[in-house]
Amino acid sequence: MSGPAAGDHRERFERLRDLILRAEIEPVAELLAPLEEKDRQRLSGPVWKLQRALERGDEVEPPSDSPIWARVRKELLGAPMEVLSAAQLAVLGVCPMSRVRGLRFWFLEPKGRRTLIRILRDRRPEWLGDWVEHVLQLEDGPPIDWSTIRDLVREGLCPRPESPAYVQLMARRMVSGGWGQTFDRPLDERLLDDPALLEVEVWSLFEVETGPEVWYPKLLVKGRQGPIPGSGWAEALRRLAERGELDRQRLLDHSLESLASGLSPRTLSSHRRFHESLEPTLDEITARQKAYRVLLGSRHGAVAGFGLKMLGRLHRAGRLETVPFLAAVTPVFELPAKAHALRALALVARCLDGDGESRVSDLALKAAAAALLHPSREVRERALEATARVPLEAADGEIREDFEQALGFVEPALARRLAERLGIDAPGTAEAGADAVVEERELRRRFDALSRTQRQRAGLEAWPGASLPPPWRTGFRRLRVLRGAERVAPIRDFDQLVDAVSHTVEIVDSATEVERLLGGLARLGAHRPAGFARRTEALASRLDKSSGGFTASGLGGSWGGVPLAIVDLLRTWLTGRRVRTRSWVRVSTGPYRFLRQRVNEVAVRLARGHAGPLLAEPTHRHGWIDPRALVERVAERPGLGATREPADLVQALLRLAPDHRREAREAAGRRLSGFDRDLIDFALGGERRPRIAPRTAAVWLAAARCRSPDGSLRPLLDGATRRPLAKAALRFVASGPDALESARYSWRATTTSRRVFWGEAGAWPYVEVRVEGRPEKTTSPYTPWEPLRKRAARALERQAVKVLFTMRELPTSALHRMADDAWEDYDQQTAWQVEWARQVWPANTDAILASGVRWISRGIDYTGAASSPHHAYLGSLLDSGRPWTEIAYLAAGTGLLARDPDVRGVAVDALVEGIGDGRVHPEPLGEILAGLWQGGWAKANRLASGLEEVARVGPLHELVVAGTLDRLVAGWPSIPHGAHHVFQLLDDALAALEAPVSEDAARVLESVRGGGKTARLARSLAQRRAGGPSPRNALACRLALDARIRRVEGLPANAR
Amino acid sequence: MSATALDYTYRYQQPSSLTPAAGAAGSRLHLATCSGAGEHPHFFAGAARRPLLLGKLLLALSDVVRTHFYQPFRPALMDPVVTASEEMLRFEGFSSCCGVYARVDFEAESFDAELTGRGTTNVDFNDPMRSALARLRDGEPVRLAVGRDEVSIERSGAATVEKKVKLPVRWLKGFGEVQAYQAELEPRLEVPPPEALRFVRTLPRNARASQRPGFVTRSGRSLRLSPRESPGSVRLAGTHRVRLLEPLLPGARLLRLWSDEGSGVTAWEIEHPQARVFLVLSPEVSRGFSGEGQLLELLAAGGGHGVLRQVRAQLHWQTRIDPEGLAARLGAEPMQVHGALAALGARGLAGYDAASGTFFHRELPFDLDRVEVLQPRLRNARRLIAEGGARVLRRQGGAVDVEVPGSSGVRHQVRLAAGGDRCTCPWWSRYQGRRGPCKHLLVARLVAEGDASAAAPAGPAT
Repeated sequence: MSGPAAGDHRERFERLRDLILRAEIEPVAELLAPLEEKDRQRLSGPVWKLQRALERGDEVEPPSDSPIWARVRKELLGAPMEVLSAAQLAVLGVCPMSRVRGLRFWFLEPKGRRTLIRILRDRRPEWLGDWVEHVLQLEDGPPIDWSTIRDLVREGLCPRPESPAYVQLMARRMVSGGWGQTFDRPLDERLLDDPALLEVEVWSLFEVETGPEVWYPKLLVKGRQGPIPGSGWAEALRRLAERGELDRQRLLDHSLESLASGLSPRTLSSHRRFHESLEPTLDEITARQKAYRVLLGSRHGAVAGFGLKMLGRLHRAGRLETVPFLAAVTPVFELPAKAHALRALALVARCLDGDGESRVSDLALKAAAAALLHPSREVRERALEATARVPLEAADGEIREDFEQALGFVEPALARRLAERLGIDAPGTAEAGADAVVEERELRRRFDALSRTQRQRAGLEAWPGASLPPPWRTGFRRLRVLRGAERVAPIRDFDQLVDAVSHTVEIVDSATEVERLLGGLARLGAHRPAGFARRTEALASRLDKSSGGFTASGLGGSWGGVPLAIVDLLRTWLTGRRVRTRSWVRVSTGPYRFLRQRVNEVAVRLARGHAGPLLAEPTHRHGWIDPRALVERVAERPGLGATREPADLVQALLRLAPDHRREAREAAGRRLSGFDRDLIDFALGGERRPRIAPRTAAVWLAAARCRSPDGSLRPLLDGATRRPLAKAALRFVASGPDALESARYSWRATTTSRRVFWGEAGAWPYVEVRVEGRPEKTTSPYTPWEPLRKRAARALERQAVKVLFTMRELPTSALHRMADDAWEDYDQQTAWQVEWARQVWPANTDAILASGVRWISRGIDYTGAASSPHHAYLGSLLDSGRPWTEIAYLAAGTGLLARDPDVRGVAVDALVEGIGDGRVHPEPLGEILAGLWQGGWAKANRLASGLEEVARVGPLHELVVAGTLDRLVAGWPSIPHGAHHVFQLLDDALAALEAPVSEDAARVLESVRGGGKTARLARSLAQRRAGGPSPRNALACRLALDARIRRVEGLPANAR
Repeated sequence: MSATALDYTYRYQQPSSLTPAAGAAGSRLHLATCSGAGEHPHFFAGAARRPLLLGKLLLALSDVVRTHFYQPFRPALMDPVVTASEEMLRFEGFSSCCGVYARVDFEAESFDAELTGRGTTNVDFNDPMRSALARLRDGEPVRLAVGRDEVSIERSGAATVEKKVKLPVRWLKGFGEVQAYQAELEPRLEVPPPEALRFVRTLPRNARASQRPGFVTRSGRSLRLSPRESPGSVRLAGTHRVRLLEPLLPGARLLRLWSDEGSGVTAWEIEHPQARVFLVLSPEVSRGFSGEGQLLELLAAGGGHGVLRQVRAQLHWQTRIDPEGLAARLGAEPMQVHGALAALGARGLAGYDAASGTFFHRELPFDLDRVEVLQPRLRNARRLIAEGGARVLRRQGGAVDVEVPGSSGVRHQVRLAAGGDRCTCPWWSRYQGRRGPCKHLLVARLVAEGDASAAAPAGPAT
């Protein structure tokens, strides 16, 4: 650029630059005012560069006499805010829209805003409207204020923006000010200052998303306490309507129309409240009847409820148009809230009362059919009641179809009433007939075909007739747990081993996977095939990287307890030398100490380069070992008496299944000799007697527990040794419960206080399960030498055990010392860890279940409990091979009362399966539940929802649930809170079975007084009369018998 | 196109609306179609036989499109897609979180007029129309128009609607790839509507609580959600996504649950007379259908089946494509044709209807060709090949051992074998192929097959 023009522009820019740097914004506007657009364009580039430089904090030469620049340290803060604002205004005055789009006028004072308008007024850019639309839609809000935009519109500099953000900005700013603005006058008065707003913008308020903060604000305005009267839109519009400044009818229409729009519930709530605050008269409501009907189709309960309320007013005034209302009411029943549905049904019933026309009846029936599908039982009942006097037999085909579909959905008691009205059979009766595949004659034949032993195994001493068989109880040795149980496939080769280890480092699927891993490492870990380093390089790197980190699902990153012991084992395998990582985490306790010992035994084996099968590797699910497989393993690895791996041997003995013991004994007699043969024979129930030495005391004790999981071992072990040291060893190992004597449990539901950081807190639900002989936790007062003393004692004990007895305590006893406190449960933090403990002694899982009961009851109402693996404690309830003990019933009952959905889910699963295969009986379950109710914290709704799922499975499950609840009700000393949930379920089950309550339960039910829901249900239940066993009841009993018989069919008739 | 989102403009001549029909009782539901290359296709106009069902199904579809099921984000305002052929009107939608795909099929018998138009386009679903859909009732005549003929356009004169949205690349990828998952689905459970309704209502509504996986298990005649797996059960996470089906169950014939054990994808089908809704759910709420890698091997091979182009040329908006018939016509193997259709599905050129077990032709109105380049695992695999270092160690029988450089100097051992591939990387160790091949496996396959030329468009690694 050259010549005089260029010189003029340069000079003009220099003047402009000087003014910008002095932050003199008015002179900037004056300088720009006379310029033509082409002159502005010439200034555009340099001005933009200057603005960018100031914004970035680049070096610029400020005027030496400017006081503004003296205020700031440029190198730290960049240009002063006033200077930036001046530069931005200059950009607005000379630059094209592409550059102006990026401006943010965050720092404009009121004076600056006036200047901004003046600059735009002088320039009148054609893009101004687009720019305003653009800034209104910026995600972080417009860079200029509402008042500035409004001034631009009022002065005609730009058209009224179409974006909803324009109205939303008005709604916010006229209420809350912003940009340091506060209001001293109410909104309605300020609106009158700009009457054009009342013509257009105000009506748009009903079309955009706003919220209660602008309709009903609670502002603390400077110098005042509380909001200024009329500071919100609702109050302002109402006042303006009262003064006649706004059309009241139009306000009513707009607010009503908005309720039928797709605005958010938040906005709709404000509009509804505003509409109500206008207090429409009866005539006004009547005139808008159609619009209120439209609201019934809303997906927002509050809006539909509002529509119903207004239509209800019309009905009371005799002005409701019945037919259109009934045609429009159906969508209300699709809303989940019962209040609206009940209100709608009440209105439907009133319409029917007032008009017997067939069209009205048809529409009312259609509405009732829809209401029968509502989630609330109360609504479903009311739907039948509301249309009780309209005959259904003659209803048209479509209506009948709707009701017939509802028939499959409603509860048995309702279904029966509905079926009567439809003149058809109730679905329960038909179902019983259709499912009656278990014929009584055939059952009798199968029962007669059973041998005495088989009957004992099935718990069927006599033909039960038309009642449930007695609870299933049978000795351990009569059980068959491997039948149908899933086999565990061992790891076969090196590639499989690497894959399994790699996967377990990332995610542990189950305890069985860990056992497979241990077995694989024990058998294959000592071999180093060609390419070992290359194949395991990534795994080693992964273990190194994850060391010390956290991982929720895999072994990688384990930092203590058994998981760290397994990681050390993996490192030992990879490096060929024993690796032991020191951890600050408390050492494993209870069964985890034993499991850790097992892991360490494998690690020692790998470090020594030995290979061979692991005796304790499960052959079947739940940790069971087929006794025949153990004999094979021992034959391959003889010398049990001198074994360096006692934990492996003890574990193997404790996992022996009751199946195939005779065959295994015979095989042991053929293939084994000496100590090995004697031990295995004794464990499997043979005639050989134990010969206990100090180092084999634990092994013989484990063998005795394998032979007899319940009861005292004294008769078996008496006279097994006379040597004092061996006797001492036996006493040492057999000191706890489930060692020499089996554990004896007692329990009670109670409450306990808990120490929290502010002191002792509340009454927390707790089921106290006591085990005779289980050491209770004691807290000794802290002394400086206490930790030292404990460490010394532990070290001494460790050495004594190592040298003398091989094992500190039998794992069956250790199971009773599972952590009960969150501080010491590192080994119980994931489901697989709990499952692994369960597999220590699959023959008797009561100790684990008792621990689960303690944990579950502690967090029974606690939402956060869902993040703990409490459900894993209940896993053994799903082992179909064993009868339920009292503790099993207690665990299932506690699980049903838990808030944790996983715990409840497993409890429901266990009941569904246990009832289906004949393990669960209603009597013990009902008694246990009644005992749990004595704690005062059991929630009837939780129990009912869990048992409802169980009952839905079929007639047998219905019968067991009914029996359980009957026993529970009979055990109630008084009617607890929420009893109607239980009554309701009991009523449904009994209605389906056509059975009465027991006399004991009837006595309790008859004692209920009052007229509420609970009392009504209690009376209805008590009045149920026996009419002989219904087909469904008989079917349920046959199904129970069938399950018992199936359990023993196919087994040898005389098998022991 | 940026790396993560694509600017897209939905352009409609006027908003979709439900208005009272002129001169007669009832209303007219007009679904505005989007202009692709300047035209606004007109597919259909006729009366709906069951307006209540029409409204419910379209509303449910719209709910899927407008919901982010994983996070409470404000979802982008994306619109469903409609495909018209003589036999069927199909509406498809994909959630903002990329984890839920919904398709609503209306058979020609759902309307009292013949379906004549053919093609695929977006349809406008705006708030007022959604509200109006909720109010449709049987017995009230409703005329449906998909697209508007010239005459009515002239009469209306309403303003053009433009919705500018940023379509996330993963959303586009997922919308295409979800078809491949559907081809693997198998029917598992079937229940009558009352039982289905009862079951759906027992599912947790709360999005957070429902993220815990459960197993849908048969329980008598009904279903229940169990926390543990049992034979025949179907894994389900994000149960709040299934709650969408609740209003669609009354009046239905049955609910059928489909699943693919390999990928963990489930699909929920509700069959109504002359209409069907299909809701396909990702295995986890936090996982979308994009990036699951089920098609990566196909794409890694450059979609290079010779038959792909030929198959594409045979697509004429068929409602059902018979792979055997097509294979016979093209002289190719049915498996090749099936693979080609799956690849075309990933590119938005075909959909899969599990109920009929066939693909159907439709072309998503987005440019999906470039999306393919942005597959992160494929891009990283190509980068690894470009950097060199991957080598075949051994070929034995049908197995190939390949060494592929990994991060931090580790070299991963990959085995390609008929019995199952494997890799030593943590990703593969964790998922064991359930989420598609890892990048090392892709490299190994390309190297083993000598197709390293596929490394050409290497981008920056992620």
